[in-house]
Amino acid sequence: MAGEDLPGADEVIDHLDDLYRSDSSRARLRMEINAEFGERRLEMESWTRGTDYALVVIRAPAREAGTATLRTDEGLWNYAPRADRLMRIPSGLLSDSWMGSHFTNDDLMRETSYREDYESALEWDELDGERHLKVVMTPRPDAPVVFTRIDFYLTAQGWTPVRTEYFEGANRVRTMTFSDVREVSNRAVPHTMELRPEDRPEEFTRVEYIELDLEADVDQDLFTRRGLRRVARP
Amino acid sequence: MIFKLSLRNIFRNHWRSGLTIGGIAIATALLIWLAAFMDGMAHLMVRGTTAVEIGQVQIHDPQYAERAGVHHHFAVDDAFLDEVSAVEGVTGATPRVHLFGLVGHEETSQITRIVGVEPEREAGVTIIGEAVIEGRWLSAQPAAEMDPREAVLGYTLASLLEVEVGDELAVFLQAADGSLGNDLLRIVGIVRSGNIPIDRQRVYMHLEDAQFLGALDARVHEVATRRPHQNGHLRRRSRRASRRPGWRHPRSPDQLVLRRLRPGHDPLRRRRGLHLHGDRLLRAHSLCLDPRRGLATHDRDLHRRRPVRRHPRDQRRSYRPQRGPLGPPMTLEHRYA
Repeated sequence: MAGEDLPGADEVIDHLDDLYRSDSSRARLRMEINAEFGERRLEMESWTRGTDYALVVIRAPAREAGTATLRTDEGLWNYAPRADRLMRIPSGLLSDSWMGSHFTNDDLMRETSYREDYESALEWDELDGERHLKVVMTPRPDAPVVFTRIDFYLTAQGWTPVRTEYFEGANRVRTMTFSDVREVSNRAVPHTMELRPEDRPEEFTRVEYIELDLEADVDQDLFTRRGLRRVARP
Repeated sequence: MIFKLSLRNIFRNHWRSGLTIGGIAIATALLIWLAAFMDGMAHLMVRGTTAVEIGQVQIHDPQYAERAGVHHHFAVDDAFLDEVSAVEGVTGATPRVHLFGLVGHEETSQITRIVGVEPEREAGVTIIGEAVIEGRWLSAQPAAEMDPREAVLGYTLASLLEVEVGDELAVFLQAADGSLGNDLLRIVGIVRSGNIPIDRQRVYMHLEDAQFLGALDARVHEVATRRPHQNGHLRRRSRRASRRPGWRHPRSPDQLVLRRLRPGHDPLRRRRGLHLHGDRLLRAHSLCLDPRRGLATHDRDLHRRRPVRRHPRDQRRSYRPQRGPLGPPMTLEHRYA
């Protein structure tokens, strides 16, 4: 079956890069974090515009409400509502945990791009007895990425992601599984993503989209200091 | 017979024998001097670090010694501190909170180790308050409710962040309950200790402020104590102790961790008792010493790291807290002695 009717790599990578992106989008999400300190639930609201602008604001619980992460073409910032200050996140911390979850700053804010930062190769593979399209991504030289390989498993039809495995060297370090696929703006978009680190298999972070609007009208002004304050402060 | 022959041989040619004996004597003397110098330097570094940073004995939650996590904390009240202070030989005890977080402003930020201290008690254990080179040490009481929190920064950290006394910084961190703490800090002082982890990564705050930020209601990560210096003694005891079941060295040859502390048992002295709670861990803490590395990294102190599209994994490595080797804190050490 290998080598038969493989789609074009560029087409598949663009599909993956743009799956959760659109000209402008708005979403409400729930994040459940199970880690060594116990269990936490966050509710968040996010806006994106193009590939360069993104804003995530935590809405609940109250202690963290208003905490935000802003990405623009100039960089990445965290907003501390108590201090009412923005703090730049150096690109070296892109691979660090986002707000204590198993997701990294890069997972959430997508500073890197599959197309620009990775070389990709396609093949057909079996996953749970079904034929899936497997995309093996290896970083281009000098790409600001942490993983040495990413394996995406996509459905044979529609290329909807099912599972992603992240490698450091020869070791798989974490696995993301996608589920709850729903149709949004004529795209099949998984609404739940669960990330498990391999070294602590009992821990996980699950993100669910409560609402996802890929055709929302989002004002460019939102991605400024003033716009952020307007939506982040109660 | 051989002995006689050897003696005759030695005395037959005085110049040859004299030069050989002299050469051996000078080489031996040099080796002894070098060993003494290295030992002295190592000793000085240990004394400097215990004086400036860690104190001679620390009390932690048992899990904290395995992995210094923000959620391994324990409750401390004045009665407990008085009890520790009352132990013979202990001249001071201070509670501390250790948090890891991002401190910065709109232009840049750095990963830091935030230490919450009680300024007055801290002065009874370490001399970090005397290492202030600009501004002042933390005031006796935390700032008023609505004001920014007081903070004292290591001087390399201040230079990396390009801030000075009077500037404001935001802090972001994961609290002990997993939630996110954030606050506004005002820099009141800058310390320079010669100890790289302090100068490069340390932010000192009031204990209460750090407890609020880290969601640690009246709980701490550490009680550090000061007692007369006895490193050589401690090291010998530590080496012997490590061979017994239940005692172990987790990180360095100079560190002694007691898994279970029996009431009335003093790990440092054979006959006198340290009356502490049995479930607490008493840690006689010192350093992993590597003078060469310590001195080499000292010179890189002011090197500014600018993240310009380097591999994030490598960048992260350069921001990681360094363990073990420290620069020689000579000046402060002499003041302490």
